[in-house]
Amino acid sequence: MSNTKTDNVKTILIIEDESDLLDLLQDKFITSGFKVIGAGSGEEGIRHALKNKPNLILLDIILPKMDGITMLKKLRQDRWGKGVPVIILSNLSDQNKISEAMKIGVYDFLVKSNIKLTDVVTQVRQVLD
Amino acid sequence: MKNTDLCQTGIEIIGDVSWGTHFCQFYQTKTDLIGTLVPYFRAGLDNNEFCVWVTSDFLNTEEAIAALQKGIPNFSKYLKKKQIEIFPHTQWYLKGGKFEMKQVLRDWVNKHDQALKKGFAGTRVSGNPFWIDNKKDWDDFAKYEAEINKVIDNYKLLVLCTYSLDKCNSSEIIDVVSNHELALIKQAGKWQNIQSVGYKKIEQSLRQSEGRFRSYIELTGQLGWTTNTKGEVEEDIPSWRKYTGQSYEEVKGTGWTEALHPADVKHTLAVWNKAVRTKSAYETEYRIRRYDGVYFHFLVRGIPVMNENGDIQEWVGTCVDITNRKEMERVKSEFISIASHQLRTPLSAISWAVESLSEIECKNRSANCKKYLEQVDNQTKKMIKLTENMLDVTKMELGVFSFKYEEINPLKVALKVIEDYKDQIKNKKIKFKFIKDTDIQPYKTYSNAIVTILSNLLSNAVKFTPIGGRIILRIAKKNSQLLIEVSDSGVGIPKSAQAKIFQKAYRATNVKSQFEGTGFGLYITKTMIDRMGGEIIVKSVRRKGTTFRVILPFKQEERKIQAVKLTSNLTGMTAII
Repeated sequence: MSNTKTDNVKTILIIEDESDLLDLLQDKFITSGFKVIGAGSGEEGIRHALKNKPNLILLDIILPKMDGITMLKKLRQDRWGKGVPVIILSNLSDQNKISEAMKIGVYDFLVKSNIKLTDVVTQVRQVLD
Repeated sequence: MKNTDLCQTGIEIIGDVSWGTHFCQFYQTKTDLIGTLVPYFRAGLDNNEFCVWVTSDFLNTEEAIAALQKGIPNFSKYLKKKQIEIFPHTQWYLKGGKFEMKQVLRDWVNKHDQALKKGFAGTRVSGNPFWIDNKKDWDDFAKYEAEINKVIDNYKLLVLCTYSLDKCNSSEIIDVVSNHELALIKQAGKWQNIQSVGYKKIEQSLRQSEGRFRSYIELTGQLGWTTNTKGEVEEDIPSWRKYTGQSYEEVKGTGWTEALHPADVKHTLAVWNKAVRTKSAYETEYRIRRYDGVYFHFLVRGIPVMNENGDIQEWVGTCVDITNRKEMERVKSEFISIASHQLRTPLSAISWAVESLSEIECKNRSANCKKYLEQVDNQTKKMIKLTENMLDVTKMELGVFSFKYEEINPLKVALKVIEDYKDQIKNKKIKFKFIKDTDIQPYKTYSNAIVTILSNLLSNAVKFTPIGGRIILRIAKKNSQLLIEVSDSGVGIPKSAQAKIFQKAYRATNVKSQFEGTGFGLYITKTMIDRMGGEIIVKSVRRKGTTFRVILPFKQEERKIQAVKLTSNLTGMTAII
């Protein structure tokens, strides 16, 4: 049986340790027509990523148990993980961390306090198209 | 600096001297020579030193060996052990047929190094320039003796030169005496030690200056070093060696770099070689490995030292431990990073929650719902802006603001910044013009600073210009400097406020209540401009408009050379500091 309807629904994995922010993001993406998986730590994040293989990952840098950069490095070591698009969504403006992330390979680095939820969805749509 | 170890000369009238002593004897008869040299070498052999006796036609090798066998019990065992070598001058001073100073000096160093390798306590030598029979060779030999003096302090060497008194005229005697620390002459049948008076005075003075210099270094806890004009370590650098635990042999030339952190060596040598080549001040940071293997951060500075003719004579420098400073910087940076993150997080949550509420909940509610939510949103945006500004200011104040140094084209950067204000300009129906000098090339500068400066000036222009007003952004090349000019037809800045607008948290009276703002924008902008060596000027007429003019140099200013001029109180010698 063809799954064309479900084929068009993209899955986003959001890794964010602030539960309020994770809630807001999840609600927004669901009402925008996405399927969403949430994770509250780098460890949980990589587990879900490798298990569910989402179309795109939204990743924060400051995370408990395993920070975003470490998780990203681990992700890129996996055959599938090497190619999945990642957007960093963080409130950290550390130049060094930004360069480090860019080197490992991310599509963009967005600062939460400077961007509207609607625009986050727009950015994600741009990358997936 | 002299080695503090003493060795027995075996010569009664002299007694013990420290390693690195270069002295001479004027003899007349064979008995004179034998009477001095046999006890001399005996003392050396007894103390496990390696001995070299270069003989002459006056007292040849066979005669020397006979004298030694007569005067030293079990002499043959020393010969067998090869602890002593005796050979004629033809095999030493005149190897290639003529006297080659540099070669002979190298040969002595080789003998010395080999002796140490074999486990001897040091090397004791004697030579006789009896073979010299012309002025040129005499002058060359005198130069050679002077060269020995320059380097002998660094070696475990004892050098006794024997001169035939009958062969030397009075000026030659003076030459010899001035090149040696001690001179033995027989007067009225008794050996006397004529210590070179001038030499001693000079030595004393040098030692005093040296002592003072080293005390300064010790007081400051810094490491001091010096190199020759080519940037190679030649003279001993004891404070450096004390810290790193390296020996003189390990440190000379470019050996000192071995104590640097491997990741810092390449960059350090690049900067150092450039400084030596261009004769400009040297400054950089690197990590030095302490004697116990732990690395510490140091700030190193070096300057060339000029002699009276204006030529560079040597380089001197100091290294200061900045580990504490680096640690402080790291702590501050980390604190600000965490603080900024912690402040932004709840603000993002409020902002997004309001955004979600507006869309969903207000559709069917009263008009006030939307109004109040808008107010929450505006205030939140203000807090976010304020947080950003305060964090930037704090970073600048604490000296941990990171300027990103990269190649950019200011015109391209300007276009991007203009994009951010495109909507506001359109909404306010402002006539915007961008005048650009098309032949501006990309160049290396602090990119984030340029972005901030442009953004701040444009943001102010847009904010303070009324509907239908005019803004002109001009970027041009002026006298090999970058010119950024933003003019508007806005509310203007009162004359009394014009000096204060660059202060932290200042807001002029004519805008304080009607226009929002944090009061930090221009302070941050000016700080960045100052750091880059540029300047910012404001011209304004109330109710007419304002023009901000920024000038930034394309190149960073070269550090000025601060060479130390030497004063010579003593002929031919130099005193330091």
